[in-house]
Amino acid sequence: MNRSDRKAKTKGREALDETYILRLFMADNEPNSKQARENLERLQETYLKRPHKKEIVDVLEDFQTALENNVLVTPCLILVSPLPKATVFGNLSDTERVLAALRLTGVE
Amino acid sequence: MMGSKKPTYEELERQLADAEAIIATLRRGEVDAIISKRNVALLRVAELEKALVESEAHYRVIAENIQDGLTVIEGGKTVYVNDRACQIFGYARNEFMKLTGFDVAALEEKERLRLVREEAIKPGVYPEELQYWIVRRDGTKRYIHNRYSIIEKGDKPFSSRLVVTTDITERKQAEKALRESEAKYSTLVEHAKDGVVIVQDGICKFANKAMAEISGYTVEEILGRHLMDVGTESADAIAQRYRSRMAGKEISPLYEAKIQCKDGTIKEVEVSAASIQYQERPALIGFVRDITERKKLDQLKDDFIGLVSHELRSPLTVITGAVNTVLTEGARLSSQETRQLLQDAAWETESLSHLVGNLMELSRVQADRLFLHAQPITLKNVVQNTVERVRCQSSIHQFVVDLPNELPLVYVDQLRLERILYNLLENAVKYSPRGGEIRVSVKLEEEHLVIGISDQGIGISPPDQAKLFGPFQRLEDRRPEGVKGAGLGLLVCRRLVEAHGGKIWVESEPGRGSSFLFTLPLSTP
Repeated sequence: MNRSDRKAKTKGREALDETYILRLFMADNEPNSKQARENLERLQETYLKRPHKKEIVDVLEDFQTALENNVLVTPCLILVSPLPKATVFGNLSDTERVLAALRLTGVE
Repeated sequence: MMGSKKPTYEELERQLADAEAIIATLRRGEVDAIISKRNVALLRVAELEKALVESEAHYRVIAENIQDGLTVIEGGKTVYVNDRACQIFGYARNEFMKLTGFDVAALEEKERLRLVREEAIKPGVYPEELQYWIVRRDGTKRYIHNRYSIIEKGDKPFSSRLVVTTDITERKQAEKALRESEAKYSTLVEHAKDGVVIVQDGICKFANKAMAEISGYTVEEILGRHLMDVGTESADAIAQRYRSRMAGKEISPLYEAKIQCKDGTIKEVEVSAASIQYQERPALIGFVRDITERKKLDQLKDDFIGLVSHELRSPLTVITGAVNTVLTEGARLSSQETRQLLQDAAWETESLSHLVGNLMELSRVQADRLFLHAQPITLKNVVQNTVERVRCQSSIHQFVVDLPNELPLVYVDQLRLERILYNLLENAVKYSPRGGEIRVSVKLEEEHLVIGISDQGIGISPPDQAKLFGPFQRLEDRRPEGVKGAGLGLLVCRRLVEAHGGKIWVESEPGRGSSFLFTLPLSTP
């Protein structure tokens, strides 16, 4: 397993503490990225009532982290914790698909 | 980075799923950056698309607002039309998309257009433009101008054509109206009896046929001549008027001038001029009327009036003198003297009444009020009576009357016939001052009688014969001393003979006397 995987594992362990962690990779203010961030904020407000953590990585400032997380395109949302890891590509406008990928029921 | 360790099956499966998801995301256009080992490449797809849309919109705005109709044809099918094209062709957009410019061409244009299209199949010979009539959906006809351009598309250079259509019906109609109006005016000018000239910068730029006829020069000879080049003293006045008019001064449009013709004769003309624009520069148009004849006639009339008043005055002087002498000196005059004076007065009265009679006949003819009182008469009596009236005025002439024994009745106005005979006999007396025979003859021909009065007088030369019967003609040089008369007699004869349906002529030789002959139709008028 490579180094980035180990780093992900490290973050993954935090999930064991029942912390819900989302990591959004985006490219500055590019339209899809901007839309993805807005869509994510809306989802957080509507569907994610439990405590959670959100990390935002701007690949234009830090693309090393993206590489370490095997992120090849933006926007890209990764559910880091709880495991198993889940990845959603795109601007997150398809709410149902996003909720399904993040294993949220939509009624929380 | 990929690590030396072989990825597990699960990892491979996950990577494959990721790849598929990435491709789907790319397809949806939701990717905006691709991250590689070295850098991040921004995929500004939306921006590109937006620019494309904007550029399309930009061209569409141009296409829809342009004053020309635009049509794009690909492989014989219309793929785009703008609003203006729909307006020009009079079809709704969806209807017009199924047609081409050829389909809506007027029936009479189709053959010509078909030939053009056949030619156009050969590469590179498509016309750049065409003008033709179209019939719109509502049946109205418009005249359009099409410009064609090829839209090059890769290796298929002739697949697309842009057609730019302009409706030029109004222009076409205006051109037609202009042509017609020009034709109308040029016909007017060419057929005008007045000469027409256009002068610009002092030089004659246009002349019509009538101008050539008046001047004797050909139109080509007139063109390029200077307007002062008229060959008479009128030149300065013409030039001065021209300058005043071109300077915009108000001057009377009508004036008279004299011009020298090609053969050297001088003609009097009446000119009316106006300023115009000729070939977009100021010029002057002149209408030139030949008034030489009118002037001559005016002169003749003046002379005639002078002559007539003289002819009226002299018998009156004699009459007044004779009558007054008898009244005042009557007691001292012998009866023979008194008789002679009264006889003079009577002759002059006869002469005066004759002159007044001729004048009245002429004025009746001129007023178109000559009415004949025709009745069947015996010619013999009329001839003999008239000869008697003239005979007593002259003692040196022998009067011979030569009539056939049998003559049919003629249907004429007796007083008028007497006047004709009297005028001719009086002339015969006047113009044979040395006496001699005066012969009146009547000949019966098939349809008419020919009546002739011959003298042995001074005769008339052929050029003078031609003028004899014209208005106010007197042959001054052949007029012997002391011969009186207003020169009316023959004109009156001609009018009266013509009123009876006959004709009058003269046969004469200078020095050998003259014969005046006239016909009277035998048929009932």
